[in-house]
Amino acid sequence: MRKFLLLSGLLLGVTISHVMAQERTVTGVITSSEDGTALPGVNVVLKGSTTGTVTDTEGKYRLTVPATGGILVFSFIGLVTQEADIGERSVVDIQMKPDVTQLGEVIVTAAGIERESKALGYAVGNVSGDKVAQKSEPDVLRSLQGKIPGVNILSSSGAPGSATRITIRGNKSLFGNNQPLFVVDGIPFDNSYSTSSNELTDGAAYSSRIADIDPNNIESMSILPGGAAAALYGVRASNGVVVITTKSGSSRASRKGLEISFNSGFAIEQIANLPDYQNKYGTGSRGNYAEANGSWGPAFDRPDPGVNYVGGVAVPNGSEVDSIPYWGAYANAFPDGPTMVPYRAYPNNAKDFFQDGKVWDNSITISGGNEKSVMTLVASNMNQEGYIPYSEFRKTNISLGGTTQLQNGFHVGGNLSYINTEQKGPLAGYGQAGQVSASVLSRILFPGRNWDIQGQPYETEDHANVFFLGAAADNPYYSSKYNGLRSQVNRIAASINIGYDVTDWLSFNYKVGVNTYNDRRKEVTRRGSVGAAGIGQLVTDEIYYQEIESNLLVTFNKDLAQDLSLKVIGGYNINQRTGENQQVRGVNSIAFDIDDLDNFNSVTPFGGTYYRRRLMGLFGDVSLGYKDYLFLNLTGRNDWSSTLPASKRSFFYPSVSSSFIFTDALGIESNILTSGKIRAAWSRVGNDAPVYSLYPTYSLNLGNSSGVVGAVPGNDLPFLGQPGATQGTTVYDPNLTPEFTTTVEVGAELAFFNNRASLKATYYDIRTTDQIAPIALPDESGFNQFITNFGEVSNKGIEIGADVTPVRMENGFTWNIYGTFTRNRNMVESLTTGIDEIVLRALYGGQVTPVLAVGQPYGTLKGTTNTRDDEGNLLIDPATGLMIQSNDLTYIGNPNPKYLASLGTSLSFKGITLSCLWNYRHGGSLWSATNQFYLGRGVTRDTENREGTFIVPGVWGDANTFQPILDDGKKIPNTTQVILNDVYFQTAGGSFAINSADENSVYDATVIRLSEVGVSYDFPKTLLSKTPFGVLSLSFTGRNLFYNAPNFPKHSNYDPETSSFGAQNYTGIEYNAAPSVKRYGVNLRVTF
Amino acid sequence: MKLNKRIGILSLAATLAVASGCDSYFDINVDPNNPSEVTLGQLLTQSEVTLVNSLGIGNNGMSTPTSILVHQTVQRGSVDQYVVSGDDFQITTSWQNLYSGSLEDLKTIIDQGTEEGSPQYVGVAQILTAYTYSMIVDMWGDVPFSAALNPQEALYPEYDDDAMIYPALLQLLDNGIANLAQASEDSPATDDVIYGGNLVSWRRLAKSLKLKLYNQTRLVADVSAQVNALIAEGDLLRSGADFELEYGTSVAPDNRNPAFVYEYTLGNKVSYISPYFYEIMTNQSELNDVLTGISDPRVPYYWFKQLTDPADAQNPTEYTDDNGFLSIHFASTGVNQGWQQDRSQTVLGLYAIGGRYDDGKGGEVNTSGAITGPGTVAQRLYTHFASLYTQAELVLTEPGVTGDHRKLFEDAIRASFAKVNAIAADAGAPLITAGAINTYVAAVLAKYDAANATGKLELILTEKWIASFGFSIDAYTDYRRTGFPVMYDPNTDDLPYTGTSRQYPVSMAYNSQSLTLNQNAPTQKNVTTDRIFWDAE
Repeated sequence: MRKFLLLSGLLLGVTISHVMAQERTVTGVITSSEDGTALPGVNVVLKGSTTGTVTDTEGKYRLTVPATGGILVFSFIGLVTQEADIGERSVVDIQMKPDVTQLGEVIVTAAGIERESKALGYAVGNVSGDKVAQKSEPDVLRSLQGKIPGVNILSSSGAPGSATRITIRGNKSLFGNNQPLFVVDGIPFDNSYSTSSNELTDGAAYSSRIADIDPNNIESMSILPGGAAAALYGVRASNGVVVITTKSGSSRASRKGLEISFNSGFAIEQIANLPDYQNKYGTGSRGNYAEANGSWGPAFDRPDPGVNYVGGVAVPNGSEVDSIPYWGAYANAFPDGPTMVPYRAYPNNAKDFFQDGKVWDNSITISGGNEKSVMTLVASNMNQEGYIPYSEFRKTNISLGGTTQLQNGFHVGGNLSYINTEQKGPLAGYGQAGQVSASVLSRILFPGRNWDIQGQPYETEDHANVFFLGAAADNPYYSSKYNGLRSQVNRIAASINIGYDVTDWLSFNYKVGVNTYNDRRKEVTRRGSVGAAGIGQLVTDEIYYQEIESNLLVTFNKDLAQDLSLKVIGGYNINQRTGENQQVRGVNSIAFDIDDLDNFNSVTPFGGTYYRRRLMGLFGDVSLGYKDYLFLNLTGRNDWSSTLPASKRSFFYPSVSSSFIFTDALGIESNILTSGKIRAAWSRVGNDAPVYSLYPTYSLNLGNSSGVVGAVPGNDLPFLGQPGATQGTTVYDPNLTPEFTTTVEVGAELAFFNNRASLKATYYDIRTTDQIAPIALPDESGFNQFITNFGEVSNKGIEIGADVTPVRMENGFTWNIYGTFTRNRNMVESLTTGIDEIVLRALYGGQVTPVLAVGQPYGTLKGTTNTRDDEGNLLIDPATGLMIQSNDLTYIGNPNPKYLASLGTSLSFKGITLSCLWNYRHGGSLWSATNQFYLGRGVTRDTENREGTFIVPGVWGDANTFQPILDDGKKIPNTTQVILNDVYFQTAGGSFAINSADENSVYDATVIRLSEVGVSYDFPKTLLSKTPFGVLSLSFTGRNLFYNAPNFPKHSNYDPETSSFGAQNYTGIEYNAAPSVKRYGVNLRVTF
Repeated sequence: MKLNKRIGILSLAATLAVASGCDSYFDINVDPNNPSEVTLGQLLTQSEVTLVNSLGIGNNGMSTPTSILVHQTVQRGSVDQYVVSGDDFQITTSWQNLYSGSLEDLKTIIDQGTEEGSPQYVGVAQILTAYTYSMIVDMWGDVPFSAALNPQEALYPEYDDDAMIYPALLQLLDNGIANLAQASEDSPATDDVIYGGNLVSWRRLAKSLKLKLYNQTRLVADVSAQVNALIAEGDLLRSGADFELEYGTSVAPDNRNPAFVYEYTLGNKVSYISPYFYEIMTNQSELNDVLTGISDPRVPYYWFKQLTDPADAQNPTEYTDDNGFLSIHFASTGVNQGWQQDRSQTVLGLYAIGGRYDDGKGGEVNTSGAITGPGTVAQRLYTHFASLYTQAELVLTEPGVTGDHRKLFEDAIRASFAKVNAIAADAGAPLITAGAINTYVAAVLAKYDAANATGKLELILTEKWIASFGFSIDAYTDYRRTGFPVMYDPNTDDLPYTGTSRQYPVSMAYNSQSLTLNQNAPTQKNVTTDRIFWDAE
């Protein structure tokens, strides 16, 4: 993409020329060949002299030239440089064309340094702001999906504001952060994800803080996936860097003196995936009616009895039910209610709970200035109502930025942006075995088919929850209305920069900025909910974060010889990060609807943290260019970190990269191959330790409700007034050394058919060694973990991006196709002596567990399996006719996709553009509780055909020895008949769904998705010329309108791109996450 | 000049910034939120609560699975089929909380207390350590001991032979007793939430624990001399000084009995009363006739019936009694086993967990708290009555041990009733009358007198089992040692829908996570064959 620059160096490089005797003046206007608008800031130089100027805001220039002859050179980065013979003319008007050669792109790389694409020895991905704004997608990251190779984006749920996980070139750190560093306008932008409660049981769909970014304010985004691109950013760059330039933060000059642009969007969002429910059977078990969670009861309106199953024998079931007693919980709550209610299906009792969500999005951008000063103001507001009632996400952004040239040669700029984000989210998760759940989603995705959810009240007059399952779960209406997470984020990003150009080849630039936010959270469980023991609970969590960064850049830029250019950048970087949070819990509310700690009878502290860390780096970057076709870039950085032991505090890491434009070097002039570049890079990025990782501490009053390992089980402290203290659970290594990520990458960038087709491909091999990570210790050591250096993780991959324009007709009809391919092979290469596996996160006891195991990909799922004989036949317990679960845990799934691919296409003609984007994710496992419940609760059409008995294929086995039972040395094929109910739900274990081996709930998460469909219309300029509008465009967007995950149960309609753990490292596990959304939106863009 | 000056200023700014990168700028890696030193008392409070709750009958404690195994309670889940796996919640969490929670903190008390000149803290910590390890051995057998809790020396502790650990524990108890008698800079007081700093009680406990360990090894060693010495000394647990943790009423911070919180305040209920246990205590048992003809007056203190009429149950029922008792069978695949009965099932009562005294009027236990109990009743670990049953067993079975086993047995039963009455008095519930107690004692003693030696042992252990309700680890140990009381067998109870293909687990599975993490750990054991060293089969 083109990047318009006002390179101060060029401005200042213009010196007043000597006034010659025979002179004349040339004037002219420079306009764009695309739309005829004036181009400010274009360099106009008399060839072979130092005489030159730049165009003003109206694209005009005036230059004194010799009386005769002379050639003017017009240049602007991103546009094709043109030369014009002045001849006898006194007016030279020029139309400039965009430089469509891919290699002519200018890309923002590390520390805001802009480089031409051809000089880059490493892959960089680029997305312009218009690809993320106006897409009916409030989450910037989600709108990136499929647009950049090498990037893996996974949304956690369909709840508004819920976190999105992004990884670039795979997971590299065993336990540390694997998300890239976000840098907005030169200052790091914290994207942390923190939970206030366990997201499996009673937590919520928390946001990751990149959600604060306003898509409307994005000018451009660069993805620097490799270490070479990132070396200058220091320790946090090992996972790649996402460099975002905002409109207010960029020093882009308006083409007009003043431009106002207004965007407005509206979208409707709906739940994208509900299963096909069966509506033949109601709640109960084995054909008998009961007020149960599962729909395994008698059929509706059925004359013939079903089967029952007693003591291993199938017997006819005489019960035929046409009416049932009023549900017990309702009869209790409403004694005057009916005695009996009809026994019938309520086919839409899940669907009707969900509403049409809405997204309103308005923003205004005002920019103006002249050739010396530019100012941009952005104000925007986004208001999203989710498909779950009462769920909301609102974002307001006000940003102001500007730059100016001072008379004394300094150029200064500043940027201030305020963001307010409000989230109102439902409680998510399911609830631990045996515990109740206040979550909205605990039951609504698999409701009993005869539950009249909409026809019955959800609360009593006293606001006590009423639901069909009594105390086991909240009514979803109750939960969504009264329980949930309210988060209010106020974020400020401010920065100033001062530059000074000493000469045309030496300049200084200093930038200092702060990015700070507080997130005030309230997690509410109202009195009357089944959660929080029914007495009401409020957990407040005050999160504070502050990051201060300053950078000094000294740039030396000079041609050493005719064909040899040199650019040297040196500088330093200082960074300080401070984080703090404090949770307080109130229980036992007084008034029902006051979510304030004063309203609670008991208020206690609920845990808190504080940290501060500092980092300083000195860096250098040397670029050599030979004849504009061979480039070499060397970087080096030395860091000092506060988190490492004093003796290991300082560490150095270098990179080298090179690019070679072989078409230019070899003089290849071909109609087929327009340009070609090959590149190679090697880099190392160091990383420091987590804070406070060098010595042990004690925890005070660490009680059960903290949920922290090492807390007192069952009680809170102080106990009977006595405070408690416990040794921390971590053993520390006082001699920690930095960890390093080494990347080797090679790639090629080719353009064909006069740039009608292009291909970029990269292969990389990344090794992260000496990781600073905890080795889990067995509890008998007295501790849980030992933080030290160990282990190696590798990521090898291929990234391909292709772009083809098969048709581009004179009349403007253009057909474009683009695609990406991302394949990353991730492997835990080694851990440490004697350890071949570490638990990434322990979930519930006996549940599927993500682990790091030597020779296995990152986060491989481990869990229980069914026992089999040596030929792979399932062992069947003759008594139950069901499987025998193994005591051993084995690897049951790899959550990492095998590859990602996308294919997008657009057709445009006379201002109308049709576009669509398909995304395909191949492979990767998902352990899905939702599907386990769909099957185990017997609610979907997958379990509708249940009459008669079934025989699980397998051979009889011994439940004590896990060996086949032999009869005369021969295995005995299973002949024990079971009913379908037991196949999917069996209290005693051994089924395929509920109470089954973990492996039964692991699915291949391959999915194809129509991510974006759009139609847009740009009103023609001729039509607008009589109006005050410069641009008027209207677009319609559809998101996620179709998907298909073929390896899930057919009627589940399941969308596997989800994760219960938000932006955290463990993926491939889903515990009743909110289903994904589809959106239909309309957007209007107007400029004045 | 002007230019140079500006460069000078910029360079100066840069230099200053770099110069500030001296060490003090980076020496901020000290956590201001968590202390690096704490007092002995704070460590003692936390380790005591952690220890008790890890062994007790709350959701985190090992009495929960063992109460199912000794057929006092029934819960749906894997233990219900005699499946004991290294991933079971209570196994993993209590292993973790015992080792890296209380034992590690007790070790810190011993180290820090020795350094600070406070041997009385050291002594208490040694007694608690010895007790904790003895419970760990009784459940798991070979476990890490000599190399445990010392990561500087061994990140992956070896497992020790269980028979070798017991002697070290007896030595540790002796060391603890000796340390209690020493002058001490600081002494446990209210921070000792078990005995409130009463060192005499600690000493008596230590000696009682020695007697308990000797009793448990009596089948594999001759312990009579040591036992005689301890009994002769007369310095064992006394009435009113049980080794137990009494809870509080505070909701936040939650100081209530964790099992009470779990069963009474969260809405759902997990534990059913075992019909086998119910029938024995209510003189209805056809499977175990050891107490036939005797109705136990402790019943209203043991569980609370929400219903007065089983017909009012919210769902079809599997096991009920006319009086409203409602439960499910062990190892059942019955049609009605799986229904939710949270508003109907009979729940653990006052004596077990501080729940409600059963006045026979019923009432729904729900989050409204209208029907509830005090929630403060102690988690018992080792009581005066348990010590008396232990002595009775020793006198009865060990030829060299002197004493009156019938008298000890009677004292034990009376102490058991006294414990129930003490709790009832605290809770304001009616007491069991002396007449009812005497009737019961007389009936049991009549059976005792009529029984042969094996029958006497069965009666002692059956009474001990009944009295143990609320703390089941020792009952599980006693059953494995002696085979008494006779346990419920789902395969021979004539019910077609109860049964299991698995044999009785004779020890607990190791925490599978520890097996994975500890390269010196053995492989997972076979819980149906790997016996504890004192288990002569």
